Amino acid sequence: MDWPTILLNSLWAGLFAAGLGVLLTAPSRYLVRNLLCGFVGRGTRDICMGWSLGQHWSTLIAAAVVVMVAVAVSRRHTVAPVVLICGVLPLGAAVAMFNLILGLMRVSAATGEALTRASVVLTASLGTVFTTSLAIAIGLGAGISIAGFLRRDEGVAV
Amino acid sequence: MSMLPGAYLTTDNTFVEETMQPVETALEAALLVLRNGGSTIAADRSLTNILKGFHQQEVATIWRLDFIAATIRVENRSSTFLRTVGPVGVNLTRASAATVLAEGVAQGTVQLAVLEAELERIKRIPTPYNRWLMMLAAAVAAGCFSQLPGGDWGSFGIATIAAGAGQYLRSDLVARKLTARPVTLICGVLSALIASIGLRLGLSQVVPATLMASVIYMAPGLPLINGFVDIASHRYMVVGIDRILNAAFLFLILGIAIVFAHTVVL
Repeated sequence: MDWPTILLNSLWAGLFAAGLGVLLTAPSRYLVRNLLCGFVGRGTRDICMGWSLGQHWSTLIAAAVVVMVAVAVSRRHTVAPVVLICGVLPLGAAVAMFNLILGLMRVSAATGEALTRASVVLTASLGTVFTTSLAIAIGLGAGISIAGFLRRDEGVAV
Repeated sequence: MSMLPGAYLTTDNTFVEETMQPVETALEAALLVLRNGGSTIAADRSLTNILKGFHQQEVATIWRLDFIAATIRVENRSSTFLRTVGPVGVNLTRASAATVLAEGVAQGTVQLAVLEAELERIKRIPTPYNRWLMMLAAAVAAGCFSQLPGGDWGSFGIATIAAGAGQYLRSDLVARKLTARPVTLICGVLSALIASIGLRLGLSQVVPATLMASVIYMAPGLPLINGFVDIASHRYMVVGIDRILNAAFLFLILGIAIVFAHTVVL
């Protein structure tokens, strides 16, 4: 496993999450949580992939970990959605979505053999967007359920 | 006491208007959450908490992204309040403050007499970060994001400048009350054009990462996740679908901006 690369990518993801928090006008007390969730989320995903787990399983686990970290660092029983957003965006859904849209543009402009190739790429991108989004959604749901179970005296809500 | 139009007397001569005032206030708090980018669950929780503070919980609600309807039944007569949501912006500090205020009302730590004044104060809370800080945040976020799909230092620099310039223009356009779609298109084109020029000059060889990162500061992550949360809750399915479709449309606009700039410059 390439630990320096994983650490560096996690750091980029954490900084990205904190920057996104400012852009989304999150209160300043959330910015450190954003950084932490972004760092841990991306790190978990990369470590899982380093253990030969598939990309989607890794994303699912990372999304669940993001929720649990967000709950752990939150004083109240509710988790701010902005922390979750900033934590899960570096997991790859945005890249997959952009690839899909760019694929869509190429298909509309291509003809002949290029059209066939572009269609295959588009179908693959669509599948990636769907599975990545689904993995994140399931991961978030699982994370909330697990955190709710662990904190069953208070309950956890988004 | 004068009666508002539409108010009527109950059999014990109390104004129904007085019964309805809590619903009006609770709706105001819920609207504050929705209009500033909060999730529907948070808005509903705020409404419920404020009604709890007034010891009034028999209110049925319908949630949409364009309106909220609340129905209350008093003395065998029902009244429905319809409030339009209007344009949804992003000021999570306001949304958070409204949620905390509502929790305070439910717990009895906020006096009901000051509730309306508090709501007015929250409405006037400005964006917590100034224009230059937002520009810096957009630049840093874009630069860092460019490294995640495999960008090099060139793409870091290009994305940083492109996103910073785009965010500067975005603040200007938002101040001119332009809606999200034209703002996304104009700023997306500007950022993608700057990124394409950088690529054309050979500052980086990683084209997709650079182009995506240059517009990532406008990615509609907030409506997307709020939409997922709404759908996952099974109670706000329509709002959730509405939010996700809006987010998908904004992604499409960003895609068009990238393709346009890529075609023109490269």
